[in-house]
Amino acid sequence: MKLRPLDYIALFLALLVVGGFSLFAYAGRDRGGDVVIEASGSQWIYPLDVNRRELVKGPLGDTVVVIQGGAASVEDSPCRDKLCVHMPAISKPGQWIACLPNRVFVRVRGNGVQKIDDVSY
Amino acid sequence: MSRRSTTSLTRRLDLVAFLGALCLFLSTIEYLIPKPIPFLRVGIANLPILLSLDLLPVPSLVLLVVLKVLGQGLIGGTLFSYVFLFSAAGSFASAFAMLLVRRLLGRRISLVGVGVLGALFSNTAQIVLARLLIFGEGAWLIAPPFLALGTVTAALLGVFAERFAARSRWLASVKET
Repeated sequence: MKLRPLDYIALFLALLVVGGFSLFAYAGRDRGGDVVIEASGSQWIYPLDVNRRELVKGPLGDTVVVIQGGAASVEDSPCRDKLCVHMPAISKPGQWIACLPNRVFVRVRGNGVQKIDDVSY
Repeated sequence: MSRRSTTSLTRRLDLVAFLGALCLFLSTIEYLIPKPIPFLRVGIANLPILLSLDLLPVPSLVLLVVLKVLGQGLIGGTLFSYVFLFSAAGSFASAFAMLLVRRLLGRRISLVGVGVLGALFSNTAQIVLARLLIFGEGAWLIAPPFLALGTVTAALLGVFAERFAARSRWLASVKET
């Protein structure tokens, strides 16, 4: 059996479609969304893929939110328990960190695609 | 209707019934094959369709695809679920594509190319359905591996079909009549 030229074209076409779908599905989407910071009635939105350090004012003082390497975390906060500081960095849509005493709420907002956590069959 | 055309019609219906039964049988074999990845399918039930492209006129081919889809629905137990919709959409899309390609290009493309294009259409149709009905935007994420695996299995099946078509005495005898 020999493959004919049009077979190669068909295979090439299939590769092209796979490649196209890959680009469409994966390119630029994994950078995943924005960080939304809410405090004292205001809201700030920062892109997750730009490193920065923000001081957020709350009733107790400044909470330090750090965005680095595609993940956001609270570096320091003037609260008693420091629960927010101990929470792991967040990067996926829907994850959040809250500092209740200082009324700061940090969450990641999805960029279109809501990633599935897990699938079972 | 003359006697001769009646016998040829009966013979053709016999052939459709036989190929439909073959689809049914191959669907059960498909279920026996262990699947490391859930949406991986070899698609061996498409073998009769692939072979019948040169054998049957369009109405009989449509009938065969209906038989195949019904058979798969029965065996998978999905006849009255939304999965059936996916199966039907995929089968009809691929049959349409393969028929078109084979009729337009004839022998200049082998069953490998025909099968690969058929799989491409089948899988794309199913992804579009998944996007519309179930998963939303997340459907695009499944698309690349789904399409890539489909291409590979379709090419392998095409190689088998091409070899079978070249050697089968049964197929040659059916073609003559």
